[in-house]
Amino acid sequence: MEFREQVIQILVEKAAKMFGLDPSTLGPETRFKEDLGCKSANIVQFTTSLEDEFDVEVPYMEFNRKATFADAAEYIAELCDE
Amino acid sequence: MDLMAKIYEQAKANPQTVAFPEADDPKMMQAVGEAVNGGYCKALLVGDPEAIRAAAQEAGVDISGMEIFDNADADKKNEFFEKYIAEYSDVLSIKALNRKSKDPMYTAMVMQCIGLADVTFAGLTHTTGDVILAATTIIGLKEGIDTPSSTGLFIIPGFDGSEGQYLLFGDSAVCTKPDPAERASIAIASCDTVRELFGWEPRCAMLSFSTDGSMEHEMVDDVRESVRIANERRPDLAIDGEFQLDAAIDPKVAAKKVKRESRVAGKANIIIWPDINVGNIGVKLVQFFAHADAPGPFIQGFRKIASDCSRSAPVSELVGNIVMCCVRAANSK
Repeated sequence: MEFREQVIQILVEKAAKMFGLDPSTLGPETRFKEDLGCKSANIVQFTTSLEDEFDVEVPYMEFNRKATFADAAEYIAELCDE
Repeated sequence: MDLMAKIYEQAKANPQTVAFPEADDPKMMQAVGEAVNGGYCKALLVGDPEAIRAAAQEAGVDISGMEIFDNADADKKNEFFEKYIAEYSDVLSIKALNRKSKDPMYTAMVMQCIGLADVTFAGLTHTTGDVILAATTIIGLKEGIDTPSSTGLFIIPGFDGSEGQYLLFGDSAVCTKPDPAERASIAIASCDTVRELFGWEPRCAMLSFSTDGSMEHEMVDDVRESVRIANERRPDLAIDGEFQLDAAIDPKVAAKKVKRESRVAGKANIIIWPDINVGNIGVKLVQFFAHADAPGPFIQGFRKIASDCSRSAPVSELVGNIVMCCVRAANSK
């Protein structure tokens, strides 16, 4: 699986678990704030999962500015030099 | 006895254990020394023992009676993390906790969550954002609270409100552009803070440029929705609005503008700004023109008490903040 797709897959699985959603309704265009209603505590859960998976520090403030899962995947790819 | 003297007395009567993850800073160490020697708290110093001892020596503080936790003690930390996950929160993995706890502030908060401390006190070498992020991650928000926030206290010479010269306000420092649920959270958390810290019965006014529909605008609708959510979540609290500032704090104006029963109008002891633009400007207006002091901010909304302090705070302000945190912690149990 391509790196960005892998990140999106992790975000989809985490969001489905956190918010009790059907994973098939989530994808690259899913918006953290508008679609999921994410609060700061939720964003921390996303960054922590990604840190666990990729062994990289994900700065909260930067990640919190990403609107969609695709934007977040792009950001993680940059952090991991992918 | 004035309000602060009462708070110092309360802290002394029931000293709490405070985790200090910035005890390797000589100024923080000086504050720790004053707070402990004054009998206001017990200290748990978290970090590098050598650096902590060096700071104590530089500050001239005797730490022989204080507990030190070595943040490099991996075995002990692992025990803490297992207990934290089993008893407090399973949101973070051991791997994540190990990674984050390289910063002693995270270790201190984990220790607080498993009952080894009552308060975590930081903010001298960490930014407000760092402290709030750590508290959000490790301590977590209280049930029914959507956002971390802050309150501050006005001490206004010559003001004769329902608590004399004192008036609590929120949020001028943390939550920038609250949506209705977040504004409701600020109000609820501020009511809890006022009870914990001062023992006041909270009367909380949600401020706007309209009083009870005197103006119609989507910004007014937003504040009204906040009042509705706050009352739904915490019917035990007196939270009301939307009110203009004068209708909130002046009984004569309230009698003219609020034509219904209200436990708050005219006698509010807490005011909630609609957003941080108003909050920041409002505090500065009161400080500048009314020559008021405004101690704080007290960060709030978390399951346990964590405190931030200004990075430029003098030692006396640090001690005051430590003491207030202890009283909040003791009264929130």
